[in-house]
Amino acid sequence: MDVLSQFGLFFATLAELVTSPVVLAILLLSSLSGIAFGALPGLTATLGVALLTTLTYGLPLEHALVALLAMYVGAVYGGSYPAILVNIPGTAASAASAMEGYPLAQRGEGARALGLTTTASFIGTAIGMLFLVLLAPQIVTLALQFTSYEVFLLAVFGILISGTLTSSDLVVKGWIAGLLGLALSTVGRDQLQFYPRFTVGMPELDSGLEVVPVLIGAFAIPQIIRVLRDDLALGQPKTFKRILPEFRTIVRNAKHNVRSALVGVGIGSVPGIGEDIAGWVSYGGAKSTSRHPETFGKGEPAGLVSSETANNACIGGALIPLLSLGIPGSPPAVMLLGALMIHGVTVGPMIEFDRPGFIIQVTAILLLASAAMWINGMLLARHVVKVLRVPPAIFMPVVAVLSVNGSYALGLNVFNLYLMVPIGIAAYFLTEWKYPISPLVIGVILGPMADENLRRAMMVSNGDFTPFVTRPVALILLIAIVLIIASQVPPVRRAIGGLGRRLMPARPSRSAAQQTADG
Amino acid sequence: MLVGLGILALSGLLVRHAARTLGRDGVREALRPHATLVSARNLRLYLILGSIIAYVYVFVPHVDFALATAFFLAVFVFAFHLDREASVTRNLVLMAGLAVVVGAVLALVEAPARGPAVDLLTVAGIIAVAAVNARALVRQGLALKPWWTGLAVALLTPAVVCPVFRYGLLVPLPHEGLVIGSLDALRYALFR
Repeated sequence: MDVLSQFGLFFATLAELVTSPVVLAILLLSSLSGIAFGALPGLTATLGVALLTTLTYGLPLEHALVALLAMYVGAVYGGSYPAILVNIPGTAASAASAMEGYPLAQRGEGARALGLTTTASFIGTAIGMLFLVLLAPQIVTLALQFTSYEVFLLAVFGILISGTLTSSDLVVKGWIAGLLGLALSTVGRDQLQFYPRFTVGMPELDSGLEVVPVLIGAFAIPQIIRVLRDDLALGQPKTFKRILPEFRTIVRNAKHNVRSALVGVGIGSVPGIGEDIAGWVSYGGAKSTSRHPETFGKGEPAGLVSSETANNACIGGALIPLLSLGIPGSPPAVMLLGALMIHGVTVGPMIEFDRPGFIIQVTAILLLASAAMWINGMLLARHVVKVLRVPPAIFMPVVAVLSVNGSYALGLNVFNLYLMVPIGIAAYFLTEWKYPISPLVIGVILGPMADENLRRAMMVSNGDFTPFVTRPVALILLIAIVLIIASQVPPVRRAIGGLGRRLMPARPSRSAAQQTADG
Repeated sequence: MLVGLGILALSGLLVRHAARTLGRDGVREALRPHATLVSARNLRLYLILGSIIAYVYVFVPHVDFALATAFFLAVFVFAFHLDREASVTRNLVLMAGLAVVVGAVLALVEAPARGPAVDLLTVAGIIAVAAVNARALVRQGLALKPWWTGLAVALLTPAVVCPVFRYGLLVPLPHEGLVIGSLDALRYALFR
């Protein structure tokens, strides 16, 4: 499809969506719910998308997509409310925003901080959407050349990179989590020869583990346990006046916006790592490239703009591998993948053949979702903030009930609940022991793809492994995998660290530089 | 096999790392049972885990979903929203108690009478949880406002969620008994 017809399709889709009252109502309500969800600490964008998946599975695909994307965008943005007003990030994505937002709120500029956040988030989502529409079709074209060898290596790469980058402790723990996810994905009858694996004689396990109950268990139950066990209590949120768009400040920080959006899209497109890392990397980048890094941590608008632009641009970035390769780029994108599977949409290289114009449709919905987020943020922030007064002891048990009912509703099978609970409890203990959960769920999602393609590749090549090194893309992926593993070997890690220090020496702070000049 | 070997190999690396970092004494110390197993924080963990397990494995498959949810919410909200430490133990005992009784009834009572029996037991359980927690608050001279909030959440949530799923999304609930059966009868009577 050429560029002009793509534009035409985009605007036609946008017009069709905007002129439908049902779509507008779903858009605004879901966006508002997403903002409230993100604003409540303990509730995440992933959980919001998961719960909405169960509520929207009976809706037409277009309406469900509108609801889910509006929830996703709203929740990522909504996490900034408690970050700014109470110094407790509502979602991990807004952790960096608290560094600058709360000091701004403390000196009476809470409205200004929220205005900056709202506009920066809108710009971030819009730029992410732009990259989605530009890059996804190109990646789809490339991915159509992939055979079983490349697909298998891509799945392994996705699990490894997710384990490497999301692990807060040893990287080995991230890899173990990924392999556990792969192990869980092997439960059931295999897709090629229909041989039962690890079904322990239970016919309910013949079709394997249902993805959405596993995801709800892995994400919802640990959150519920953690928030209630740790007895999280919020302070009184800072009050604020009317929120203004703060366009002038945004324009002054345009370079931070653009850089942060690029960081967000880049990080979002890496499987499994999400908005939180994008926020921190972008914040760190803004601080290290600032002429006055000593102002950071004291209410520097550039820091707030950077983190919020990046975490929202990450949404578009995460959708790029999701739609083009079927590999989710972030935990909420994992849930979106589950939702799309329920609606019978198989994302990946064949998406434009199965559903022509699907990527354009998602892009149009993403733009509308960001607009709805901006409108809700500007007009209703003062009311949404009231949800911060709801104690976790009230809303967390309700979330538990919705998770249980939602998991049941998807297959009308109580067995899904029997699966969800032990997986959730195991996920809780894994996170307590500092194992990341994202690689585990990426392993569950990509496991069937990796398994089927490896075995097909072996059948086609009669057990010969040489195509893995003779095919160019497969070789590149194999080298990337080897490099990821090798980079964790201590001598190699020390060598990389030394090289990094030589290439990018630390910039002296202004005060230190001044001391040197004075000295 | 590949996945299993990978997990074993990486686990071996972890053990090696732990042994190098902590030394033999450190590993022995880490493996020793700790007295903190009965701390306040762990007591909350036991309540949460116990409640979720009882709710999903005992109540949801066999008790009217609305009643099971109301009981679960009552226990949870009263445990964490009231006077905190004492209420956690109190509600843990109530949850465990009803779960055991319901389990016993399910095992001992024959099929047609089983459903109404466990539903009525759960109603009694909700009333008991509310009464015990109210009495505890009154005895300590504390305000009843959190109690009223908890009770409202426990009763209103299933009152909203069940009709939305049952009649809005047309999703049958896991077990439909006393309350949902009555709602069905009312619906047919009103909209026949």
